[in-house]
Amino acid sequence: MNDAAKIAATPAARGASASPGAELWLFSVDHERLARSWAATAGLALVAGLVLALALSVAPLAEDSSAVWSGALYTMHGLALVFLVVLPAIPGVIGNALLPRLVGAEAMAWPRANALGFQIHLFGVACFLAAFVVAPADAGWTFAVPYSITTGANPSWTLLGMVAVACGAACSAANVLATLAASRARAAGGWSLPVLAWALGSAAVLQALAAPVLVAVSALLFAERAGGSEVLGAATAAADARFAQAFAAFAHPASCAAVLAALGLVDHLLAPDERRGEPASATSVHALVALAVAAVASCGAHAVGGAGSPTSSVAHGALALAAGVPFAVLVAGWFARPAGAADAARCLAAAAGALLVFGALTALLLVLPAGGALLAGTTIATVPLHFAGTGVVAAALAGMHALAPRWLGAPARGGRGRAAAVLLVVGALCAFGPAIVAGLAGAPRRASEPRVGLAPWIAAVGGLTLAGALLLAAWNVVAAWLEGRTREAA
Amino acid sequence: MNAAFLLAGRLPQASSYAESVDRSLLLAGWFAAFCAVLVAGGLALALLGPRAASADASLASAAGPRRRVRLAGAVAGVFFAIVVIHGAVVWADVRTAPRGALPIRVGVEGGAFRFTYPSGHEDVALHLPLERPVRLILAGADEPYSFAIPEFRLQVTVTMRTPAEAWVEALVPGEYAARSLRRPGLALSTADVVVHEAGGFETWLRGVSGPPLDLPPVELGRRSYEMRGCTQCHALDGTRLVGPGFGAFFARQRELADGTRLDVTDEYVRESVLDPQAKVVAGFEPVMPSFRGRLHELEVEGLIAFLRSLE
Repeated sequence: MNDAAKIAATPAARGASASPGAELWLFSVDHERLARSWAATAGLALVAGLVLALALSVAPLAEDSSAVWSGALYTMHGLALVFLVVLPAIPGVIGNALLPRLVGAEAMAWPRANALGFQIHLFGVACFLAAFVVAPADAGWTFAVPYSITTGANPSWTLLGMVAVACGAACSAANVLATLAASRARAAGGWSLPVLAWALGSAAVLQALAAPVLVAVSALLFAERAGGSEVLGAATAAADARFAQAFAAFAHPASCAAVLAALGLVDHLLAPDERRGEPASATSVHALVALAVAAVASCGAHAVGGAGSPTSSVAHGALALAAGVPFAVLVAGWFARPAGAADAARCLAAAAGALLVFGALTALLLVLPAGGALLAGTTIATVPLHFAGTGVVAAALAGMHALAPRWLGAPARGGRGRAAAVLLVVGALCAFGPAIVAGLAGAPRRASEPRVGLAPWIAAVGGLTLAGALLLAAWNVVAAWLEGRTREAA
Repeated sequence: MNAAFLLAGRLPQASSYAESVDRSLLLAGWFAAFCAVLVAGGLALALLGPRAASADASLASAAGPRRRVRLAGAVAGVFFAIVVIHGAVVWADVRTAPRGALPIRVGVEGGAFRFTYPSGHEDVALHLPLERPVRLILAGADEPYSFAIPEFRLQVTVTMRTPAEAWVEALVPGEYAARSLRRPGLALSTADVVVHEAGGFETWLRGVSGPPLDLPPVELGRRSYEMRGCTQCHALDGTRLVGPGFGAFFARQRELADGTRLDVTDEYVRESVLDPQAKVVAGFEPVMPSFRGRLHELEVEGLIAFLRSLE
């Protein structure tokens, strides 16, 4: 069934006037309006994160860049992009705008919980803003212990923001699952969902599992700093390993959730118009579920074996290699059908797909036997997350391009979108490629070593290109929205 | 072929397994490049390839792309299996130390590495023999650390207080650097690595190591006196060399450079070995180096016993 044949959701049916405060966007329970709100907050965070990324790209060119790598700039860049853009972009924006139509519903199952999720997220954004202004954290976005316990840069505001963002994500995830369950109840045995709905559902399960872990980890660190809870036991090896274990139990499923949703979205957008929204094949569903299970099992391997122990490393590597198979099956699904038109959304989706695959391939280098052990801890270790994160953001932007005519009132411009897609791939390769080469030469991750040669220049130009491409695609969406408003006014 | 040479600029292959590790990395790199090209081509086809004229035609014309995807998937699957199997074989080789490998203990004290050799000698630098397997036994520490020598393609991570092991057989003499990749906010530890020419390691170890510690004290002291370089400055018969002679050492008083006189006691001898500048004998230059940290406590006691035996 194609999108247009799905239910025509009127504002009333979507619950747009279901609450007295519906006219105020902050209190709206209309899922399409909420999608725009999620897009606005994620967009602003994207701009902030990209400005910081540019500063990080250019900083190594300066003579004294030693403070950059372990400092607040690095941490704020990671926090803004991971927690405020990569993790919420697809569930918040695309999930709200598209999921009800994909499953034949008029609105999300729990509109008020949906709105509450966004409001809590917004509180988290405010906490992050306060942290950036009052006390920027400097221990990296993974808050490595014991440094984050002993550092003078108080991370309390940031931790509070993380807890709020996690709670908001949990609300949204529960809402996605409830919407899918409601559609299952309506289908009365004939349940068939497209790949994107399955992907959003699998991602929601992972988000729901990861959110409480992040809350617990943040609370533990906060208690340790505030009064010395002695649970972590500051400045000991046990503290470091325990915290890394706990954080990995959040970070692995959470990042996998974002990638799963992006894979589903790319699949949806690359399909020819007439085949968008058709039921997923059994192979695709099995691959999505296998990928989600591998993500949970991977964090289990950390929890059981201890972060970094030989046993957990072997188990983690084997699971990651095993996860490569369903990942490849999902990617193969993109090509097992005729081509669609090369419009802006498809070009951006293709760029997003390529970046997600590049991320998976560089992650593969890290877990393959022999070479992987050698590369862990080098600059290559940072590359998969960057490729995947960029891919997720690109997928979300592609989704917004596809939705623009109905959602924003005017189509996004094709030329700009196609240019952004090409620049995205070129910029990402230039920005992250030097880290692969430096890692192969044994350059340690997070080291305050001066960088020499052409590599920092290539990375800086790549960073500029990448930021420009993302901003161009984001501007294309904003321009479509402005044009839609003009048309509506006329 | 050297992957690091191709990709990272002439990083030497200085250990016996460096070449096979590089080959495994290169194979993985080729696989990644193959997949990247495959996916890029697939995406280009998905955007620019032939389109179905209608929805029905779209369903009917999916057979061609499916066949292509299956073929590409089969080729990629075989390539992947080769990469994983080759990597596993190399990994097993890198993980398993050959029998008879020379054991060297690696510890971390105050953020710096310390290496303990089979003779008991401790050093801040890692000295390695040429073309002889060495087993590195890394002690656990209060803080996780890793130990890496890029030219040897060696990296070990130590977590908690659990010791870890690795082995290496150096093939190229020269000086390298070992480094520890640690958590943010903490310093990066480094240590010098010296690969000796053939036979040089044994000579060096004999030079820096003392006698076996299980000898009787007097014999241990005599061997220490001979092996630690004491003979160059101190004669046994009272002859004046760079330093005072040891003849009838405990029988007389010493006049010091500051004019005071003292009886020679065990404590005085100990202090003169470990902190020679504290009390300098009148008429001699304060040129004796300290042996603190270079002599085992049993050797110091052995030297005292040996000097007493000369009376």
